[in-house]
Amino acid sequence: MTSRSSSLLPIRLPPRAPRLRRIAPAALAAVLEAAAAGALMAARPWAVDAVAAAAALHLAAALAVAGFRPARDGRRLLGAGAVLAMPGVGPGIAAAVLATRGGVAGATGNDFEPVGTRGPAARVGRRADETLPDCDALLDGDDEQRGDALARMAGRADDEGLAVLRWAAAGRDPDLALLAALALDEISERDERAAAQRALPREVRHVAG
Amino acid sequence: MSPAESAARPVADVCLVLEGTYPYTPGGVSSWVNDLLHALPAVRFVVAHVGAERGAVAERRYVLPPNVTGLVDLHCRDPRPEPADGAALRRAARSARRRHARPGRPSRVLEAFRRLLLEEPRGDAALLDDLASNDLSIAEFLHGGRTFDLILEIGDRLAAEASFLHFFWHFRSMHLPLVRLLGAPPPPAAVYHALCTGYAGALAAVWSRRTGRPLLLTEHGIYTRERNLELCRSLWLRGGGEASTVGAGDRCDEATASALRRTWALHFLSLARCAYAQASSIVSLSEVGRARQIGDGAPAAKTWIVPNGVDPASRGALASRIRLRGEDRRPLRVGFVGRVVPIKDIVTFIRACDLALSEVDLEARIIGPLDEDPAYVSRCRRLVADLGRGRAIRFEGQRPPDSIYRGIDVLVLTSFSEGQPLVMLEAGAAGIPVIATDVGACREMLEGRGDLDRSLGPGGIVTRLAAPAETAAAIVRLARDPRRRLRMGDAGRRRVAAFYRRDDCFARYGAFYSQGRWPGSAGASSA
Repeated sequence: MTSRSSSLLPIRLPPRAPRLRRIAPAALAAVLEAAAAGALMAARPWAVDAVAAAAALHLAAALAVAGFRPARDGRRLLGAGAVLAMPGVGPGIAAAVLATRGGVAGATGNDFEPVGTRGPAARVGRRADETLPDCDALLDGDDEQRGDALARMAGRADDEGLAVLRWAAAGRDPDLALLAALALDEISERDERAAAQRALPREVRHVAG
Repeated sequence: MSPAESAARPVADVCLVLEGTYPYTPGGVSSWVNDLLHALPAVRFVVAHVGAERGAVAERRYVLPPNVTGLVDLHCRDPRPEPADGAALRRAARSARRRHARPGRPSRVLEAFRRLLLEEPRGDAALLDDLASNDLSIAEFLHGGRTFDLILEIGDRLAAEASFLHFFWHFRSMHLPLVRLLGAPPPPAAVYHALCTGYAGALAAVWSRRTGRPLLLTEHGIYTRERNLELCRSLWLRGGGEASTVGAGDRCDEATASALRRTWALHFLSLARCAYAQASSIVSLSEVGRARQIGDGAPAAKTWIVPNGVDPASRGALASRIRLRGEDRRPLRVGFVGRVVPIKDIVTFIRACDLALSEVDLEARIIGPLDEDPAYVSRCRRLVADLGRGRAIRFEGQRPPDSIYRGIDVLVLTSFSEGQPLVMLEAGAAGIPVIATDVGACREMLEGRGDLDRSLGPGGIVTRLAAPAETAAAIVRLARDPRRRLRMGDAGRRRVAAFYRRDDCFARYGAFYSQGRWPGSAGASSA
């Protein structure tokens, strides 16, 4: 696949927050949790409004973690869930979750703020949200979507996929034509190998048309 | 010849910086370099060759002419240590990790790596200066804490959906050759001339930056495109399905394979941008190649088209014999000439001949080296046998160029990818019509580039990629119409004589070497 200048649009990415800043929401949640506990302790026997105040503070603690935008969605929600489910120790777990570094599988498009619509970051986001039908991907997709669509068709190698690949190989877009031709060659080779294993030499398909 | 030997010799006029070609690997670029060295005997060359692995290829396939004053062998990686050294290697790695965990100063080279992948523009002067600083040792790169931080950052930004483990090793694989090469001292020369972008092109750019000498960049094929093709075939086409193969016995999911392919492609593009930024002139062989270079970030004002050439005089007599043979009644002899490798798509050639044989009488010959990809050669031989065409389609191996064109009436090229195939020029000079796929410069070589060129008429027939039926139809048409064949042969011969002369091509390089720029008006973009 040929790189295109359009696939290299600058991307604007959120800067990585320092570790102390990353655990700030957890610290705030701990303070709110402490306040909730204080409200309950001070009002024994528990009055309705003291319980309501403690519940509101507990909820606010969870929201403080869930609303921390610089963190990944998954981490925010996991931290907030911990605060909500485990009063007292939840903020500590949230701090550990938010402070963790390193790449993970399953990042979402919300982690990035693409300037263009065809940049690498935009592709990452799109891939999580949508998968174009193969024909649409070939016609309108970017390099990655085209590549993925061709890979799927090459993998299936059914009649419909072969027809689309032949059409693409005959098209005016030289990059797409080349990729489609390579996919057809791949299918041919697979067929030839399979035919050789079955000792049926004349069953070789002329997939290229 | 060792680097020490070459350093003791006189300063060269030109340092050719090559990657995986002359003098170790035969092919189009190597032949061209060999011709260049012989065509300019008064110019003193030093050849810097970037190879994959030390000791992997040792045998020279070309004899260095006397005007080559030195050969510097550089390698992207060292051979893997023997298994017996594993424990010692682990101890050394632990020791290096302790030493380089947190060095006191940030590395300019590491900062350049970060900018190459994450920031535009890639390859500006400041970035090249950072690369030229050479302040990063291999041990620091492999074991340094700052390197790990950088891998984390780049992985997070470019390949967030990928397995970090895979990304880590691939990042190392793509940058370690660069760290290794940046440590090589530049061979003294008046001009640096890189024959590709990639690692060799980036190294030549850094050498040019360090020494203040001009850099000329010539691309026969477009390196980034060729690497991208390899990535497509190796990472997702080959693997397919749920998992793709990304290393020896190592498997990863499709999202990881896709992200790795994207990062590699960006890496090669960044290296190309370094060479494009530093080069004073950027040469391609055809309009198609030039357009791709500009698309990859080469400044248009620096680009030139200098087509390859052949010597038409040596083939004049041959052409006249071919003319006389035009209307005889023997089977049409069609030939494929080139390396028998997948990118040439010999399978389509075989299938086209099979289809054409059902219509006309043919002798098909596959002429070229058979030792580069034995598996593919086996596949082609098996296909010929399966089709029952063993007598009509023959593998002839490599033959001397002068004997090739006496034995064929039509040249057929079915390649998936080409730059400006020399065999088409040789066939044209011999008055042989050509059937070629619409790749690289093939169409402009057959149909002409400008009005004057086009007025000569077509020198052959252009076909689609991977279309055996279309190629077969073209063969049948030429087999049944000898007069058309003669007309096309004549047009090709006149085109080569007018626009593709070897002496013109190398005279232009000689002028560049002596003046440091192309003769003619500055900024002109076409030769």
